[in-house]
Amino acid sequence: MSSRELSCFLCREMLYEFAIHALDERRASSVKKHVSTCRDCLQILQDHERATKHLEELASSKISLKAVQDLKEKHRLISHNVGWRRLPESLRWGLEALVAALVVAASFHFGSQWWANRKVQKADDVVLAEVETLPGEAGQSQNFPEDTLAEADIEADEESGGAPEVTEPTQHSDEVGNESVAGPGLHHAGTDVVETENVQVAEAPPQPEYVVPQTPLVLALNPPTSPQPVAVKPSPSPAQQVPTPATMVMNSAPPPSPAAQEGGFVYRMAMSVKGIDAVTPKVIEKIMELGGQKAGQVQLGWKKPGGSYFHFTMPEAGFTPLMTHLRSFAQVRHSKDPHKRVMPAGTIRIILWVEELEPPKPSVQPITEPDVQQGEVMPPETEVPNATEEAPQTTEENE
Amino acid sequence: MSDTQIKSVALFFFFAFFDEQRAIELTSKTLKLVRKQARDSEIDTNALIVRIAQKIFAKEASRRELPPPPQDLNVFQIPEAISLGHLHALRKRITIEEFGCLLWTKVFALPEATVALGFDTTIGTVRHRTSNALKSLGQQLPHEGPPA
Repeated sequence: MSSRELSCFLCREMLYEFAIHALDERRASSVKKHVSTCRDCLQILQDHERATKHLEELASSKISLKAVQDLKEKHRLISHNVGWRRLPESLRWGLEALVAALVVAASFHFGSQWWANRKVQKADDVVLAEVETLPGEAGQSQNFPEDTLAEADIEADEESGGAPEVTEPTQHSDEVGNESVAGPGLHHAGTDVVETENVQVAEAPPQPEYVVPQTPLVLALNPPTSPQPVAVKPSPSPAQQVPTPATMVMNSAPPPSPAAQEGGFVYRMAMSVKGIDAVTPKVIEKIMELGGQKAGQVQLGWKKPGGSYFHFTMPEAGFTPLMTHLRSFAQVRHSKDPHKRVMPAGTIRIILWVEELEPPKPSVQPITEPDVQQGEVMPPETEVPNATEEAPQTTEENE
Repeated sequence: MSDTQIKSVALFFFFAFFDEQRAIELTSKTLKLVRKQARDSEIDTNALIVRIAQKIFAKEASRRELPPPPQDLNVFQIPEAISLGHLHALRKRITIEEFGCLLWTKVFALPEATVALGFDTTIGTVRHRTSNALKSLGQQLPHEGPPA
């Protein structure tokens, strides 16, 4: 069987394979026969051989050992770095899950701490007074914080709430006094029944900074709640009653415990003046002059919708000068109420409400007893024993 | 990877870019990628080297212009009988695929099947590209004498 003559195109297509001996015998013989007769195709074949020879010589090129070593060192470092992938897949997944769980747990832990701290900082924590408990009596004063919180609620309402309520006087058959008692917080004055025999007043210096307590008492004020007026029952012992004309006795509250009788007091005052904007700075100045310092959070003379609010502590000796000063503006209605918060010896706490004097409404007439005598101004040194014996009492001053 | 493979990759990039420093850098990069992909790929290491090196070659070739062949060599040693000028001219004349097939099959003597696997093409394509490159190179080389 004679082979067909190859064209130059077909021959050149097979020249490379002919050069590398990749053609079968029949095609190889055809290419060989064509190349022997075609100078162009032969030239191309020779170019192939020459180039192949040139490349074989080029293959003998070398690279310095140092460069190879450097590349291998880099390669080893890379292998070391990616050694993680050589671990079993289950182990890798386990470690990754562990890391993820730790991250989540840490986030939750720190997040909850942050949230708790944020809530604590937002709460109205006020340290009004710090008392020192005797070491042996720590267990007996366990009910103190609850009472303190209750009082804290009341004062928080006074200081952060709206305008203080001026209540109408409570009428009762035993009521005495010819003028109603009005003032901030007076409606619940004397309603606290506390046991304070477990709490002793620390031996504190005259300044308001108190003795560093063994168990510092921090009052966490809850959101203000509306105080519930509670009537007060008179003292059970008639012998202890002092016939004070301006004493209002109410019968609905439980009798104060001995602890309350031995507890502290708070002076509540109220007065209506003309030109409150001018009076308030003078009152502040006088309080400061007498050594008074603000108690609670608000400053002295805190402006409220109906007047100015003063909550402060001062030396007991300054009470009379303060009353004298206040009377120069207007009549002062005041009461000395028992309070579970015990102030250091020689220091008293006063809540004063000064409001703008408004013309009295003819329709509202206070009901007075015909034989009620006018109230007396009771200096603190004389009120303490009375109030101690008759805890729920309210003193009216009428000048 | 063996020293031969490292040497082949380094020479490949040197012949491709005629720059020793660049050849070393690209060799390191290629070895890193080959080491990384060798675990997840079942392909032959030589074919993987061809594939990665050719990808880097194509990518880097489009970034920079080809410099002239260096006069002094520090890292690589080229036989004195060989002139890099012919290869440099060939690099400009033919495609990078043809140039790659020529180097891998003729200089580094890799099997055509491996090169075809590395290029993800057929052996016929590799032969065709190599043939064209050889033909171009042969036309540049000086004739040693009258054809037989």
